[in-house]
Amino acid sequence: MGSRLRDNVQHLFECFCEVAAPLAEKPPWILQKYPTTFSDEEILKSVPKFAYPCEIENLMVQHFSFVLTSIDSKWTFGFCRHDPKTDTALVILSALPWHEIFYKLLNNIATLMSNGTGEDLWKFLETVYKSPVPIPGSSISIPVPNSKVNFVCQSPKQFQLPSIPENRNLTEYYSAVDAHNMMIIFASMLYERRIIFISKRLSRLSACVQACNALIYPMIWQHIYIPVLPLSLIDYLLAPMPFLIGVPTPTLQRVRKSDLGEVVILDADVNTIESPFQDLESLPQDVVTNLKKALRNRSALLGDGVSRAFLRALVQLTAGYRDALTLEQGQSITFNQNAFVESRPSSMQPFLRKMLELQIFQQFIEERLNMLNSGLGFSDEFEMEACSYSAKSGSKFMQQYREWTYAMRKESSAFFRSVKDKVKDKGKDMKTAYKGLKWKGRSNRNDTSMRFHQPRSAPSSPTSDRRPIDFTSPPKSPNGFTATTSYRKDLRLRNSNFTDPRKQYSPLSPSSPEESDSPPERVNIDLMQELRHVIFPNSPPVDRTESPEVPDLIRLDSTTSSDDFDPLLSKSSECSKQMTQSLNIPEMSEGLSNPLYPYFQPLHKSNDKQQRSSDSAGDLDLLQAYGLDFNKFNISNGGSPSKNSTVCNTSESSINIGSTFSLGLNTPAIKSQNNWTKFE
Amino acid sequence: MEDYKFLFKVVLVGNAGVGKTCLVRRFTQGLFPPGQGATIGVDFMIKTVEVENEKVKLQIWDTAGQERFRSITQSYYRSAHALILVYDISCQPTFDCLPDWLREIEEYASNKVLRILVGNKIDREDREIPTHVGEDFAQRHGMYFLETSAKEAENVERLFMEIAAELMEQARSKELPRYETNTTSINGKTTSIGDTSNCGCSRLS
Repeated sequence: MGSRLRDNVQHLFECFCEVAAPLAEKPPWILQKYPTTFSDEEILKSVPKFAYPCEIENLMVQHFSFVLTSIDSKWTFGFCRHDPKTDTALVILSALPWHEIFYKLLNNIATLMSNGTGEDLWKFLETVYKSPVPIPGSSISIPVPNSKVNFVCQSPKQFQLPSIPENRNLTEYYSAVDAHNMMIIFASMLYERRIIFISKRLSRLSACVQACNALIYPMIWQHIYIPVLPLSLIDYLLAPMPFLIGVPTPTLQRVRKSDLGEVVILDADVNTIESPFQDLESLPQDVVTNLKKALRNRSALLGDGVSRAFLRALVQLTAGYRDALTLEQGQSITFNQNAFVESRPSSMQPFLRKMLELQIFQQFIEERLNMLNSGLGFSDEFEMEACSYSAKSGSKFMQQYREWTYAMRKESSAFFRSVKDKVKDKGKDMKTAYKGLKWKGRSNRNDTSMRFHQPRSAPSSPTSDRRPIDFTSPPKSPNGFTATTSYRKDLRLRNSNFTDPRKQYSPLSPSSPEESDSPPERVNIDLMQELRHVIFPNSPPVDRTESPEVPDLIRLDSTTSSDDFDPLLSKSSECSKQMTQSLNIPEMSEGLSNPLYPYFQPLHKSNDKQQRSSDSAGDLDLLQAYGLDFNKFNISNGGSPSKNSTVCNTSESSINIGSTFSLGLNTPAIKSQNNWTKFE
Repeated sequence: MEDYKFLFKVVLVGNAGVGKTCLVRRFTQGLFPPGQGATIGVDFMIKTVEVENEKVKLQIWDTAGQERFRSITQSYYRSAHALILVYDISCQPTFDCLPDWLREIEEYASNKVLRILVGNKIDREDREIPTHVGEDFAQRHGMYFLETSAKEAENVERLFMEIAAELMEQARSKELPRYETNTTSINGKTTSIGDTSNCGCSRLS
């Protein structure tokens, strides 16, 4: 129930629409769409409104994203491109939150529209639409007609935190909002406030909302989520329940302040916050202190430094949930709220008691229990951080969990099996599989279902496109890190001299290569390029996939024969053997898999890697004793559907493996599932 | 945003299938186009009613998919003025869940919030919960009580008008934040609207 991303995404995008700008009294409308058979009326009715959420004055191409929420609370992302040269907006609807990829796709489409034939465009769209969604970490490449460039779509890797500058949303957020204000928003999100972001620029608005939503990983915002609010839906700002809404500045001015009630308002244009609450102050102070410290160290913030700083804060707050788990042989793992609070330092307890009452935290615990009970413990970034945070309780729990899993496997492998079976028929019949899973001391409400969902992915945008341009000769600058500090100033400065970048790029030349392959916000992009040179003088892209693959050892779904698979007992030498076996199992298919964390590999992983390994070297030794190598967890794609490890190895090169993938994704997936259930 | 004197937010809770959305649709029928529930995950209806010659805007929030929350926590109710707890008189399980709902409401909602228990679907032949059982329950928990039929439009109008009137009275007696402070006409005390002779709505608190 946690994740708001869809499982089993069939197509890269659901629908492409060209939307005509509003004319005088006439509201915007859809001019054309692909596939023409797309017929979700509710969505089609909404698209024009969301594509033109307010009056738009564009001097340059602008990208932004909106989100539609379906009745089952899942999100559909709408990626928009506004071009001052045309009076239409291009919109891609997709279940995938891959901002960079779809912005790039929109640029390709725009180029085709301005200088290709309609036929070319349709053909291109068809090819993209029919291409299989690449498995995490791999990519597909589709030639763009009449052009030398290919559209490359790289699927985010698992367990990747969003990083700067690859992730456009986070980079935008980081440059618009200072660390202190980011912390306030973070705290207010944990308190489930009603939160409004405003900006005059839609691109900044949606980027900031999407980015701050990603920073609460592994929590997931459970409430109303509207990165860009159309004017016609202005009344939704009065919703009495928590929300996170991006509002164009002029729209907010039309609302009576007194009707809004208690809201937190962040103005992303001027970096100010209005809040009636003291949320940051009421977080446990040592958590805040650590977070502040981490965010002050600017040189470490590039890459996934910002994301990791917030993740660590959450680890500090919640990692203790393990101490409150009750593991009894042969029974489901349960969570004891009191034990949880009492296990934490007394300075934290008041906050934690409150936190237990929040939807966001309940969802979190529920999901962790689901993971643990299905044998998937310890497999994501959060758990890794948690292990290094608290070595002692980590290893103690690990031991217990190991015994528990072992017993479970031995005595009642039917337990896991039933979980898995149920997961196969997603949705309806899951309740029965989870009858056993109840919170201690808290009876379930009306509907006793603990619906099991596929472990979720992180909330928002992965980074994607490693623009290959200009990356050849990074100047060596030992002072690179000092330069970082001036980055933000630079940015501000440039933002104020906004007209400057346009000199070098004429919006009137319809298909300048730059336009087609780089985000339109020239200001940022220039900076990002500069940044790379300055900040990452020497670090070549690190490819985690190069290291030997070690599976997530707790994946019980990754074996064809549960009887000879005891992941927790196997030594690392055996791992690789196990892995080849386990690779048969579909990762992308529905059901149990490691939680995806679909972010892209930053180009400069080395800093961070070092840092982490020194942080947690001690723990890692310990964990390895149990056959758990967390360093390597990152690498494991958990098993690619198409069985062979070659897919993983080649995933970096953007090979045209469309057909392989479609096979890999569908046929074997089904087969292995069959195998899995048959062996009993 | 049009002119009005009071704005009240009402939230409906209760098991899936008890007719929450139907109640709201019935009340607001034709007055506000069906909202955005299907595309932004939350829906509300607005109806502006007149109580004692004052315009009162009722916003009735109906969250699509709230059922996905295994439990609803405080954040959900935080700024609602009234909570309508709905069950289906022809479905015992929906009534049996009331204590669970109530526990959460009591735990999390502010004390000031107006609580109304509604037994819906009185048009059904196969009633399982006698009226007095619902009434008893409401009385024990200090809630208002009303039975309705969204299908036959029975008592629906009254339900919301009663809520509007009650909230307005509360607002006047300063229990609620005032939305306009300059004009404070304290004229009547009548809280019920329409015919009160056969009022199915018993004030029990």
